[in-house]
Parts: sequence; structure tokens; C-alpha cells
Amino acid sequence: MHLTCTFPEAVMAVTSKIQTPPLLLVHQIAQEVTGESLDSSTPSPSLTHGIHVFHCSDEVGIVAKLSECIASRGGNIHVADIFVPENKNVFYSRSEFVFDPAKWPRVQMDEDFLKLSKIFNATKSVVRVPDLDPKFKIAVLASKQDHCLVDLLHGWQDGRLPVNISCIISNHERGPNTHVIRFLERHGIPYHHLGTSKESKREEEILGLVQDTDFLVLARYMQVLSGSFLNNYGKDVINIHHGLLPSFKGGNPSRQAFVAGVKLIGATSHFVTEELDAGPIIEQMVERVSHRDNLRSFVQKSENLEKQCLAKAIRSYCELRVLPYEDNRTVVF
Amino acid sequence: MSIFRRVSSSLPQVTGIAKRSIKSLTITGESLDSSTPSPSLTHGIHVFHCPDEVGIVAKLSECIASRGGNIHVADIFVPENKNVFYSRSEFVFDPAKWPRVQMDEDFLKLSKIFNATKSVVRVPDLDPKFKIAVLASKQDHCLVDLLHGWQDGRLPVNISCIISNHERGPNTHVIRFLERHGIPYHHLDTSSKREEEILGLVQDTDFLVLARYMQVLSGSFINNYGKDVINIHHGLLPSFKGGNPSRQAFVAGVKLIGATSHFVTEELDAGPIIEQMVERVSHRDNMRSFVQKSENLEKQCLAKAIRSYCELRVLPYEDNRTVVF
Repeated sequence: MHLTCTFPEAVMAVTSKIQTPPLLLVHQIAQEVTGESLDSSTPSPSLTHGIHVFHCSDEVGIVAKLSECIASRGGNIHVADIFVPENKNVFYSRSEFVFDPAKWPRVQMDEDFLKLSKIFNATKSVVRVPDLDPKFKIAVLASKQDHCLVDLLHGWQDGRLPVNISCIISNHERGPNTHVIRFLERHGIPYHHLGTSKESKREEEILGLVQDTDFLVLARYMQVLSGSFLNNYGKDVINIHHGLLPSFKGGNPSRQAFVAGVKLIGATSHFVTEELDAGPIIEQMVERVSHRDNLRSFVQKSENLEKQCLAKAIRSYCELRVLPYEDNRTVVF
Repeated sequence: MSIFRRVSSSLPQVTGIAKRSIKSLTITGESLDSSTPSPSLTHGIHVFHCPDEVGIVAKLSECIASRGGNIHVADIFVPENKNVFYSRSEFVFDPAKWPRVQMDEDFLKLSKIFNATKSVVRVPDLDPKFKIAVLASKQDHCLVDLLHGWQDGRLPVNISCIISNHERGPNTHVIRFLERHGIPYHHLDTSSKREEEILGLVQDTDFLVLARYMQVLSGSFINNYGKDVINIHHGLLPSFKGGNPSRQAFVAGVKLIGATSHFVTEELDAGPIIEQMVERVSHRDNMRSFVQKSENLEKQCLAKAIRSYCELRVLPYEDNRTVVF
């Protein structure tokens, strides 16, 4: 499955980038910690936050060892979520801790957690220091509807979405005077128009453009990505479905919902798998509708939900809150 | 559609009985309304559904005012691009000045003027309560919640009987409760559908409630019964139709589960939706908590649907939808 092969690769990529310029790193720390910390409780200049997620077979003593490791390096755990499902021999944890990079260098941190992951034969062990590590690099795919794309771009600009956007890919052409194109030009983000047809989904070209991203976001991208594409890309793809899955799979769920006379409509963000609209669900949101709604307000409420739901899913993912659970589900801390 | 046919056919019934009950005013003791009117005043509810035209609200409100009625609540709804009119109004009036029979005549006249699909007036404190039968199977959380709601006065109905395809022993909570309150319990196992017998038992009810009744009622039964049947589906329709939606939801890894109350039609779990409710679930939920949350939602959702229906808040809209004021 895509999820389990992603993070180790991301960690390796991150680690290799950090190892190269140590002097630069010191400057980075000075600049980035004071200026760019998105956390509300700003630590003193020499401290920063780390996040560690761990997924392994369950046994007695994991929490003790993880917390001892962090404490032995002077780290102070501020948040910890532990989850062991009933009758299942698996362990999940996510902890946030404050530490001094001078006392616990980034490289040492990776080594320490790697050692722990070997002791417990972990399925996944990822550590991330948001203020030091490069932001997640994403490409966004969209079609004609751009409410989600625009919301993502604004969120990125405001700093609410902690990612770097490498490019936008769309099967829909956008003229130079459109809001999206002007925005992208102002910020130096390439826009690739790859028109699709029944014969040609342009997947090879898309693959070429997104090889160096950490994950993909489908912001109302209306083409179905093939299993072959997903396997070749190998990393996570997050989609927003404008309906409350598993209701209304496929096209125009707002109209389906309107005709069905439901009293609640929703949006679902989920990981993309070969099967359409069926991958592990990350987040769902609803809003009430009534006879006073027409198709237009159904669509408006739906679009509003999609924006919120997709943004939340991306934020959760970047904060390492989303973990694979069983075959087709997620743990979201 | 059958929804309107059933309710308007119950009008004559209501009128006939009202003649007797006006003398035995029960306003002071039994008013379920929070703002208790002075002893000579009571509340009325009127719903109206007709083709749209200019002047309906004016005529309806003039009619009420001319009889000394004071409108406290009014909901008007005319859908975009559709030539239909819906209204529901609540008014306070003096039955001495506006007798129940006169009220029926006045509204009947209006319904003829506007060629109404539906015109129903109801005076909760004077008119007989809605008479219902409840069908249940083995699961009894909804049934028990209904019975308690009825006992507390939260559910403004009379329960004529309980029908179940599941046998319940004399020492069960349900049977003891029913015996204490003189409500018959009919065990009709459904090896052969038993629909004829059910029909016989429910002929004199105003509507039916399926409180997790796990048998599918045939189109023939629904047509013969002719009145509304409200069902609770333990899932957020149209998701998870059919059996064991909690397990389906659990396996699907959804983050929200829900319940849906709706009118029963020939097609399973597909009739007009009345009410839906949701609750969040996460990885921390197991099958047991999924079911618990679901059962809690079903109870609330069904009770709310029944209350809305009794307060004349639910009206048919288009083919398969509802207006719920």
C-alpha cells in the first residue's frame, strides 16, 4: 500500500538534505525558529518542536522506551496520543516534544529513533521538525472547478497550509487573465495544462512533473488516476470527494443528494487507491440542508465543505496525524 | 403521492370527534406548549399546500384574524421556479369565539378557493391524539425509547398496540410496561408475511411507526393501509442500505455515522426522508461503540420525526422529498 512506503522515503529525503550544509543549518535554525514557527506557544529561541509517530507490533514497554529516549536528550513531551486497538496486536503513537537542537542535533535524532524502530520492528517511525525540515512539497491537480484550488493557494499564501507547491497540473486550460494564472505567475508556480481525452490521460507526463513531490493533492481533479500511475508514483495521493462517502460515488453528488432529498450533505477527503472513491477516509464534514435549499445552495454549501475538508486533511497529513489502520481505514490523531 | 391523500382523508375523522370533545376542555391540564395561554385560549396549527398565486397569505391570515385568531408562527415556502405554495401557521384563538366545527368549515372554504392539495387544521388540545401502532423486531432500543417518550408525554400519540415478529416473555421490560399501561402486544412471527393480520390490527390507526422492524412491507400492504408509515434506518441514507449498516460503516472507515427517518414506500430504504442525524466516529471506536452511537442516533432521529409529523411540520415535496418546517 502507498501509505507504508511513503514516510520512510520522506525521512530519507529529508535526512539527506539536512546532512549537506551544517553551517547553513545553524543559520537556518536562527532564522526559521524565531520567524516562522506556526505554533502558538513560541518556544525560547534555542528550543523547537518535534513530532514523532510510531507504528509497530504491540508489546509492553514501548511508551517507556520512546519517552525515555526523548527525555534522555532533554526533550520535553507536550502532547502524546497512544492508541492500541482492541484485540489487535498493533501500537500507534504520536508525540510532540520541545527540544534544544544544540543538545539534540537533527541527525542524532534520526539515529535515535531509527534505533528504536529497529528494536520494536516498527512498520513506521517518522520524526519531523517542522521548523528545520523542508516543508512537504506537493503538486496540485485540478480540473475546471477551482474553488478548492483557489482555497489551497490562498491557504498556502497565508501560511495556513505548511507546504511548498511545486506546480499545478490541470486538464482545463486557463487564460492569462484568470485569477489562478495571475496568482501563480506572481508566486512563480508553474501551471501545466495537460488536456485529457479518452485515449490519453497524460499520466506519463504527469508522472514526470510530480516525481520529486512528497504527495499529491487532487483538488476536484475529475480524471481517474490508474492503478499503474499510483504504483509508479508510489507516494500518497489525497482527494476531495464532494459527497459523504460512500454515498453518491461518481459524478455530480450534489445533484444526486438534492434529488434524493437528504437533510445532510457532506464532503470526504481520502487517500486515492485504484478503486474510485474508495480509499481510506481521512476526514468528513457535514452541513444541514432543507427544502429551503435549491441546487445552487446545495452546491455552495458543498463547495464550502470541500474546501474545509480538504484543507483539514492536508494539515492533518503534514502534522503526521494520519496513519494507515487495517485494510482501508485511518487513525487520525 | 400517498402522503397527502392519507392526511387529508383523516380530516373528516378529526371533525367528527371534535364535536364531542369541545365540551370537555382539557386546556389547563394537558397543554404541552411551553407558553400556556389563558384558560379560554388555545393553539391551532394550519398547514396549506396548493398551486401558487398572489394573495394566499393575505386570505389565510385574514381568515384567522377575522375569527379573532392571533398568528404566532408562520412558515411560508414557495420553491424557486415551481408553482407551488406551502404554509404552516400556529395561532392562538378562543374556541368560544371560533368553534372547532366553524374552523374546519372556514379552512375548507379556503382550500376550495385555492384548489388546495392539502389543507389541514389541528387543535392539539381539543383533537384526539394521533393513534399509532408500532412494529418492532428483536432490537428494542427504539421501541423502549418510544414507550418511555409516550409515558413522559414527550410523544403526543396514543399507542393502539405493538406488533412484533419477535416473541417477548412475560418478564421482559417491554411486556411488563405494556401490561401496566394496557397496550396489547401481538407476536406475529413472519414465516408467512402475516400482512393481512397486521392490516387488520392497524386499520384504525392514523399512521404506523416501524421501530427497527426488520421485515419489508410489500407495496400491496402499503397501498391497502393507505396511510403514512414512518421508518428509522440505522444509517445515513442513501449510504448503507439494507442490513447491518453499522458494520458496513465500521468496515468502510467512515468518520461520521448517522440515522435516517423516512416514509416507507415500496422500494426498500428509499422513501422521502424526514430527518437525519450524525455523530463523529474515529479509530478509537470499536464495533460496540459504533452500535451504541448508532442506537442513540436512531432513538433521537425517530422521536424527532414522529414529533415533527404530529406537529404537522412534514409535507410532501416533489416526487421523493419533504418540506419540514
